[in-house]
This record gives sequence, C-alpha cells and structure tokens, in this order.
Amino acid sequence: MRMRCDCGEKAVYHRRYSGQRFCKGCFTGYFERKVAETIREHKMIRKGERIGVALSGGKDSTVLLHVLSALALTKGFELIAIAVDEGIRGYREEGLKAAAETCRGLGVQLEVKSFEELYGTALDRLVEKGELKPCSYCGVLRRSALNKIALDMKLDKLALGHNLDDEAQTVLMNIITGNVKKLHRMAGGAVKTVARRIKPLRNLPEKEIMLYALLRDLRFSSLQCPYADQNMRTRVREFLNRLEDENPGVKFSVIKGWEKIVMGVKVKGGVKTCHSCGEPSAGDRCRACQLMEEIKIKMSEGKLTLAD
Amino acid sequence: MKVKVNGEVLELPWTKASVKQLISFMGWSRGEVLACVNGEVTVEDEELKEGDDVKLIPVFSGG
Repeated sequence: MRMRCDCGEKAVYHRRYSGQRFCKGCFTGYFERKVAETIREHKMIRKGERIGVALSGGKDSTVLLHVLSALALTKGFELIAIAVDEGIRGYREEGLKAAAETCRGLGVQLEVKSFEELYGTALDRLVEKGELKPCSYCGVLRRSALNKIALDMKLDKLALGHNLDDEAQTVLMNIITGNVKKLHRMAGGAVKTVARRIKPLRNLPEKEIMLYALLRDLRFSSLQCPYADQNMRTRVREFLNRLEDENPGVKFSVIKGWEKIVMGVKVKGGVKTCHSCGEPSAGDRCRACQLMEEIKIKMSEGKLTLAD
Repeated sequence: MKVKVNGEVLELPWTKASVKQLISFMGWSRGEVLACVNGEVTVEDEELKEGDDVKLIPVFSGG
C-alpha cells in the first residue's frame, strides 16, 4: 500500500474522502490554502476590515487565529482576539491561559470579558440554581456576549472557529428537532448581527484541524467542557463519525444537501430585532434578554448570588 | 501482538494489525482520533510492530 505523499515524502495523513495522502509540509500548505480559498469564495474578509476572532484557547480557534494572523499581513486586515470567560471552574482557566499565550506569541491584542462582568453571575452558578440545561444558558449568553464585545470594539466581522463537523452536526440537530427557521438562519444572509459572523474553517473536518495544530506544534487547551456530555450534540457527533467511517465524505454531503434545501425554502416571519437590546431575535425579545430577566428575578429573590 | 496504547501495554488478538484496526478495537471511529506511533503522526493504514508505542489523541475538545 502506498504510504507516500505525491511529493515522495512519508505521508502523515490519509484523507479518505479524496483518497489523497499528505506529508507534513504538503498538508499544512494545503490547509492554509483551503482557509484562504474559503474566505475568498464566501467574500468573508475585505482589506482594511477589523476582524475579531472568538478565541476560546481550544484547537479550533487557536488554529484559526494562527492562519488568519499570517493572512492579515498579506491581505491587509486587522485582527483582535476576544475571549469570553463563562465561569466554568476547572475548565475555562486553562483555555484562557492558552489564549493569552497564543496572542502574546502572535502579537495580537486579546480582550477578555466574563459572564460575571456582563451578567453578574457565572455559568457554574446558573447551572446549579437554574432550571435549564447548561448549554441553553451558555450558548445564548455567549453569543450575546460576543455581540456586545464586537459592538464595543467596533469590529466589522466576527470570525468563529466552527469546523465542518460542527456545521454538519448543527444541520442534523436542526433537522432532528424540526427547527426549519434555525436551519434557514444558518445560511447567514437573513441575520443582521452587529458584526457579521464568518467561519473560515467551515470546509475543514475537525480531525484536520487537530492534525494542523499538532503538526504546527500549537499550544491549546484540549480539555472537554464538563457540561458537554449532557447535550444532544455529543450523540449527533458520535453518529456522524460512525457514518463517516463507513462512508467517507458524508459530512460534506450533509452540508451540500443543506445548502440545496435552504436555497429552495422560504421561511415565514424573518428575523426581528429585540426591543430591549436591538440584537437579532426570533420574537420581540431575544433569548438572552429573557434569560437576563430570569437571572435578575432569581437574584432579587436571593436564589442566585454573585458570591459563592 | 503487544503494543503500548496511551501508556498501557495491550495484548491485541492478532499477530499483525494496522493502526485503523487498533482504533476500531479501542472503540473509536477514525474521525474521532489521530494516531501517533513512536512519537510520529501516522497514517492509519500503517502496520503496527510488536512493542510499538501508540498514542491515540481524541480530536474533540471543548463543548
């Protein structure tokens, strides 16, 4: 069996969905070109723009910042890293440390904001005292936090480290839960957030991102969120990975199928603007403002406190 | 054959095995882990040798 890259060097990766084998040099080169191609194809970044990178310190956002920092020099855009400290003890600290180290190494400004600063309480305490699942609080509040920071820092775009696996999982989850509106909103065009979200890694599988991080010897946090096991995404991820094992390329097919479906679907009742904060919302008030109201009530009743 | 997997010596029920067989034996899908054999990232078609030191690195992290 051929274990060599086309260039003759020893292969380190076999990309099953295309049948190609790559050595270290050819893989990292391919990876960086793929990110640049995705940005160009979807017109994600223009010269002179101020781009915020949502940096968690995990592999995806760390890889994204590395690749974008090289592109920023040649394409002429500005980069700022932003991190949100949700307040997950034993997990977030390491990510923030890795994020700070990455930014120092690349000479990129890092802005960190915590849930405590923004909402008056940490996620751990919300989970302990609240009725919703951890991801329901975290997903909504983190999205809102990123919007607030993007507005404060006058960012033109917000770059997220979402990869092909994340996108395929989201498509399937929205199908499973019958959420056609969210499925439609994923296309992006209908949502006018303060800073447009871009996903330059959306055409790269999670495995290739991890491989790039290892081959480039990047420092990142590989911890798993303690709340991740409790969500549907975990089960969808496992299902998709098993399917991909037997049918290489199936994750790309999910995305391609979704793109075709979305083009032909019209959804009633487009995105509104939240009456309280002005951010995009499905109803008159966005979910973040509704959650904030619940948090304030709990605090006033003494059921939730800032202190431990 | 015996190989070391993530620090523990493991007896595989074969005399010859590839990295992909080991991944499946350990209960992983190939999209879920990267394999390093004797410190080097390796393609999954690679045959294992007696005593190889294998690290299976989960690609998923975060939440």
